[in-house]
Amino acid sequence: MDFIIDGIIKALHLLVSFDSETYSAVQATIYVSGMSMIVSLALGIPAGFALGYFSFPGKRALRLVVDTLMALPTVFIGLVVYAMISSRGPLGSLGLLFTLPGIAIGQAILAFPVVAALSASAVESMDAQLRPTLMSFGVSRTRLFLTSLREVRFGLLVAALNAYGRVTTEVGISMMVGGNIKWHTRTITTAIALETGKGMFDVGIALGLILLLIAFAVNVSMSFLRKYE
Amino acid sequence: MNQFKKAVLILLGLLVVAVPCFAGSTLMMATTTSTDDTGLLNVLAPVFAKETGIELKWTATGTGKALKLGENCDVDVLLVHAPEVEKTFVENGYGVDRKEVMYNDFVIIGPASDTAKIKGKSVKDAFEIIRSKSASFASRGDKSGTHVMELDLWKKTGKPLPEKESWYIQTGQGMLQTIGIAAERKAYTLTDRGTFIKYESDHKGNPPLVILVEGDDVLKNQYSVIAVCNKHCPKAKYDLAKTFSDWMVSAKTQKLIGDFKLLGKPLFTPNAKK
Amino acid sequence: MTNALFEIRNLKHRYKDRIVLEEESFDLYPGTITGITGPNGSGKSTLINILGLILKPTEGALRFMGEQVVPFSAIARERIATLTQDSTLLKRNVSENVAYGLMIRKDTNDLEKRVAESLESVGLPFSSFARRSVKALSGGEARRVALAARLILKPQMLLLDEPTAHVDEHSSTMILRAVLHAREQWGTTLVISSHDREWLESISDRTITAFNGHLFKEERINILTGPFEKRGNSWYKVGVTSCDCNIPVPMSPDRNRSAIIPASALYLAHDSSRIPDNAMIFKPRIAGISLSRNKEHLYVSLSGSDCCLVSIINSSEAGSFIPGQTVYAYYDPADLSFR
Repeated sequence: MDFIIDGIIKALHLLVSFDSETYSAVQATIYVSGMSMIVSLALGIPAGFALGYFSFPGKRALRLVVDTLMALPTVFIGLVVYAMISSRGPLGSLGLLFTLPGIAIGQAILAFPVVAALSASAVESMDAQLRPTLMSFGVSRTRLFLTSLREVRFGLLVAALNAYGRVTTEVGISMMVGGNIKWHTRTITTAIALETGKGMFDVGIALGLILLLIAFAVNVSMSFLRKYE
Repeated sequence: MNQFKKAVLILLGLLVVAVPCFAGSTLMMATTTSTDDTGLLNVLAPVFAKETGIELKWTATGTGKALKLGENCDVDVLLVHAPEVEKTFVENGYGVDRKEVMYNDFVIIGPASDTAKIKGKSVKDAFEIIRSKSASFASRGDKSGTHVMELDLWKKTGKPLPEKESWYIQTGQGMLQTIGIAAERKAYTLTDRGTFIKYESDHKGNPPLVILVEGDDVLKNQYSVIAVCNKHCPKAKYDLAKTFSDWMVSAKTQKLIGDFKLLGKPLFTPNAKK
Repeated sequence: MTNALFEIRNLKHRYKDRIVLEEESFDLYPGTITGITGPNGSGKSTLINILGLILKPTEGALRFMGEQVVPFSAIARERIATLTQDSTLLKRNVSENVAYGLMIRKDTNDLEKRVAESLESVGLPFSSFARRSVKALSGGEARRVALAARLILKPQMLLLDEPTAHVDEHSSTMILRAVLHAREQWGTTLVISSHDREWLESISDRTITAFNGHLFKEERINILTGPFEKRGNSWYKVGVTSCDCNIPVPMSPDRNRSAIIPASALYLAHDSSRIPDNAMIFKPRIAGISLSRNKEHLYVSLSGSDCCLVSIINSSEAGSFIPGQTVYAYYDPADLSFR
């Protein structure tokens, strides 16, 4: 099992030598996960808020559907997105296949139910007195929404980090929609799949460690949100 | 709130830096994992770009999916190795200008002791000996190109597949993992030469498994380049695909392919028809 | 009168088909202190939340400074602040909580100084509380922080729902002092609800009583809750404990409702000759006499049934009624209402 130690050494080497292939994959990963997180948070948090905040007929059923969609298999999403954006698919004219935005769409679909379901749970656990309290300050509707979000920020952070974890570790969508094209759509995970297939276990482990480093950096930079929790 | 804004700005900054630029004319190719894994395309693509100004982008998948990508007009050109299926692909009007480019080959490997004594035999004989002696044999069992080839070879012996025999081990894993399992179980197996070269070098030239059968015509693995048909896919960049296939069969590129070595050993034999 | 600060007209608020508050006309005048008292579930909090534009009434019109308002109306939002009964603090430190209202109004000049002043006004030293987490506050301190967060806005109208409930004596004193100070300084119109009628009357310009979703604006009211009992041809409110007499009511009352007699409509007399013929009469004992806040009249508490009845008499009559005496008490049946 030398390749584990080799992998750690290799990871350090790839990082400090600014290996251009590795950095291309790191950039692609940051780009697609960043795009998909922006989209899934922008859509998922308001959707989750509405789902957790308001009561309406069919709410329980809808909640069940969203919870179930959290378990969407990535290869299935990859397949569906491929079918949609393939040249002969309904959105083929947009030319999204084998591009990073294409992967980001798939990952946003992956992350959306996670963000929506977990932020709905966060909002449901919100203090029932929060709305009257905020209204007693004379808030506007927008401010009421924003401050409520801020009050449940810890729950939203958990939702976002969960979604981020799924997005950065998935292979199915990146492989299927992105095509693992060198210098273009090769992400860290598809690179790991490739290197492992080639028998380059040490490089695979090195890339895995780099992915872990990125996740660590994201967690650290978000930790200030936990203040006063 | 300031900290939050800062974090958002940093994130957006990263995204801007991370946006790769797409420029110039690009040719999209679907190919099989073997051409990518061995690093051949990493050698060919820069030369192609330098000589023609066309950027070659490729996605490496299984043969079946590569052909499907062509059928769905998602790529402009294919570099694959399944002659029979390729012919149907062209007949169906999905592809044109099929040109044979090169081949690599499969080998049968087994323990150096070779208890079943198949060394130097023909493939057909070797398989029959393995079956009659119930010698352990590791199969990919994953419908990969190598597995399809192996099944085809069993069929050529004229007897049913040994699928349920106790000596027949289906791994369901990649080639390298399968070789590893064969070594553990002292079994024979069929592998492409590229993977074996890599395996050999991992064991510093003294591997527990060695090549026992090679060079038989049936072990040849022919690669061809096919342009996606412009009539079927109006958007396919046929002119670029044509430039690429012409370039692939040119004498200069053929020499480049013949000179390509993996760990010091040649891997592909160029055989474009002049 | 058109100079009312806040007007309520034809209000009806329902909660799940049940009317929880009903009021035809209710006005608040600038700079006044209005106390609201009444038992649990009487509609006190509903009224405060409607006045604070936190709750949208099912029916009715609300006008603030002459303008029709609903929850989120800009004019009212800027000028009305409410300390609701179960108001919570935000997950931020004390100083950020106090500054919240100013932050959302983008009014941040001298922010720290104003936060400090507001905290000091409720008796919490800025230096030791500003950076504290709200989790580290006692109940009384939390309540004072919440009040400071409203006072800093210098609201034109401040509504306080049970501001001193479940709060220690010191906190309670500080809260009252800060609130009265606010009115003195900025002429803030105050509405305060409490169970403690005596305390409310001591600080309010007027005290209204909420009962079963109705507001009684008379100074004092007598609430006769059941059981009612028929004796002979008449119905009585029957005392359960320590009763000296039973109180006659004019008609067969609905068992589920209570009878209300304003204190001002309950008269006292030493002999029955001057009592009108149609009056309902009973003979309670005088339990105590106290002076009203404006010193114009006296409250005579009567030990009647199991509840303490109150009558109001002019201070000139002070000498004629002495605690311990048994007197005639009577009222006009038209002044009794069922709620």
